[in-house]
Amino acid sequence: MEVEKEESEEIPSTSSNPVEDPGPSQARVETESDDEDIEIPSILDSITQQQIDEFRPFHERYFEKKYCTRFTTDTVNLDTCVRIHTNKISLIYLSEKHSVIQNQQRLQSIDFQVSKKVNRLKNAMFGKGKRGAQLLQPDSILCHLETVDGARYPVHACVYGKLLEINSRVIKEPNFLLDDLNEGFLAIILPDLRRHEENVKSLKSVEEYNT
Amino acid sequence: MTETDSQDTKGIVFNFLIELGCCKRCALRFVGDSNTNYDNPTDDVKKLTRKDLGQNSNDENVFKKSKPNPCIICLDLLQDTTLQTMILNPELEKVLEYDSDTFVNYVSLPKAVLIREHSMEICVKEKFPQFFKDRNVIALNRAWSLSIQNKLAQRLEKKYDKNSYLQIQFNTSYVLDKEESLVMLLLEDKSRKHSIQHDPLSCKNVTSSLQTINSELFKQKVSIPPATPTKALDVEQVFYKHDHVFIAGRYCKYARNMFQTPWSGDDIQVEISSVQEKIFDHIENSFSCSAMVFSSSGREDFDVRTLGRGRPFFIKICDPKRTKVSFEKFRQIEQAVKHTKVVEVRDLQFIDRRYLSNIKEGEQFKKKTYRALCIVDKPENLTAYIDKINNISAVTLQQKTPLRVYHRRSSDIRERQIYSLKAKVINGKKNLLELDMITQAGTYIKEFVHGDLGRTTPSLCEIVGGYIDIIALDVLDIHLDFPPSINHKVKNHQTVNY
Repeated sequence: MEVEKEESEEIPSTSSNPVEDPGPSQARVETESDDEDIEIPSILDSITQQQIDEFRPFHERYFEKKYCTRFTTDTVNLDTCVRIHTNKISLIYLSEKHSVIQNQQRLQSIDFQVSKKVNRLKNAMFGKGKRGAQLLQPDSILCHLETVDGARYPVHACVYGKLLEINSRVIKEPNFLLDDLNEGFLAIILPDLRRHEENVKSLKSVEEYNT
Repeated sequence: MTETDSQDTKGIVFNFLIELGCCKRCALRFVGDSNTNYDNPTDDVKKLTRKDLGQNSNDENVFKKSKPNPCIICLDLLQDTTLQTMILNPELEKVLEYDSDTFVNYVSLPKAVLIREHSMEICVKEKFPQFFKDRNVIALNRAWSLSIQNKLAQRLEKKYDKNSYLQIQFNTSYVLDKEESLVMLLLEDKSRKHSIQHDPLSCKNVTSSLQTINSELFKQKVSIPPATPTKALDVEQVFYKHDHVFIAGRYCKYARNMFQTPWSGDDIQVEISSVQEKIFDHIENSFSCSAMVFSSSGREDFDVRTLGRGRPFFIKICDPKRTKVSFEKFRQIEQAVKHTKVVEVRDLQFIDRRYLSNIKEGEQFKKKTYRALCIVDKPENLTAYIDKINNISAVTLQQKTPLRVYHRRSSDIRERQIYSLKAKVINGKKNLLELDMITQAGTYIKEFVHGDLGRTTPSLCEIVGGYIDIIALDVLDIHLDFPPSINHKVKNHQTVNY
């Protein structure tokens, strides 16, 4: 439903902003191949059936899943899931065992003003080195979840690094954090490479977490 | 002044210079004209001495007198013996290996020579103000070049051409250079800004200081005319180099596990070589060059093929010994690269460096045609997905820096266009579709399809309302007509046309 709505929004927006006519360029490709008769080898033949059968979706293909349990207490589960891309970029999610999810609570809002001075949404950076980005430690608080029942849960960064991004969809729709454990990440962190090993060691593997 | 008067004055000036201790070529520089034969100045010298003195015996004396000490200006740079030493330099043997038909020669001068030249100009202008009023003295390095050109041409079996790509540079030194040029520190214009690298005694700075220096000040510190030297300059190394030449073409890449340029990762060992290496292997020998630098209009991921007419690229070829590469030779290189099976090259040709910006601009502005093999989550929805894709003509994307490259790219939201989309079924495959797209340069295609966790919007997943992802991606065309395509049937005589 939601998707269809977005699609129907998309059509008027492109027709009101007509893009460059793709006609001539397409025509040129065709005349080129007429001129020189360049054969395009089949794309299907370029891969094996095994590659097709073993194909995994994007969020599984490039990420290693880890869990952070160190902030959980006897009374409240504050576990987070950390997905680490092959390039070490780390995404912070709530764990499916997190109290808010387990108790099937709903969020009223998410408070990113984590201290008087620090707001996680005011995070300006520039350049490839992301200079100016907020620096995080494992116990840095990324935000407080505020449920409709009035409860408040902190979410921790879990790793050393720089805050790159808070998920814009979660900002708009807080409950997306609970409802989609693939796209509903909370934050993207560029880990401090000098402490990356330390980061990874402090986290539990899927097997460890589930036993 | 009549012609004879002028000729007489020339003789007077010439002899004045000789008597001060100038060599015959330096003296000629002050009185000669465009017809002066520096290569073999005997006739010009005779004309000047005979007219003025009328006696051959004095002629001899003049040269004997100047012999004991080196020339007070050029420190013997222009003397036959020095020129001969340069010509006989055994290093020049190696210049014969270059197939260039032409050469151009340069000389580096000791700073002392520049100062001596300036001193002598002041001297003669004071002595003969009328004669030097409208007269330009031939520069020392110009006279040197004219003196040695023919001899070098013979030695190298090449023609002199001031625009030649093959440059030969003779270096000279002078044991008293530092001593004699220290005076420049006293004369330096103090008002000038000094940068950190500013060396007031560098050749360049001495030259520019001399252009603006106050003559009165100069005269206080430097002997006018220049003092008689006890040592001549020495001929040091000779350097030679052919300017870069550029070749361009288009390459195709048929492997799904190949980088464009050699991979220098810490822990990943890539067994297969790169596109660059495959091409370089077959070019190096043809040009006998010292180095090559590969550039192209963008690059593809290592698991993406580049098909069709390929991706425009160019190679900077540094110090090539061979540049007479024929049309047929280029075709042979193309054939040899083709035998690798994984890389193919077409339209290989020399290219003038002023056209290279075409390729780099193309990187930013040109459209690309892609073909993707996509997998869908639900085979029963395949036709519905295809219909949805084919129902949209174009898409404007907002792409946040993909997670895949986030560690090395700045954080940004980039707007990109998909100009056209066309999906079709593949016979016998229930969960696959083939997707052809024309996109703006710089669009991250994989992210457009899977959405990068919702960070590229809209994504194809959003458009079809399900999960769709790329299994394999090919570049079918980069819409840049560069370099010009080569018609294999018509032989093109553009052998040394760089």
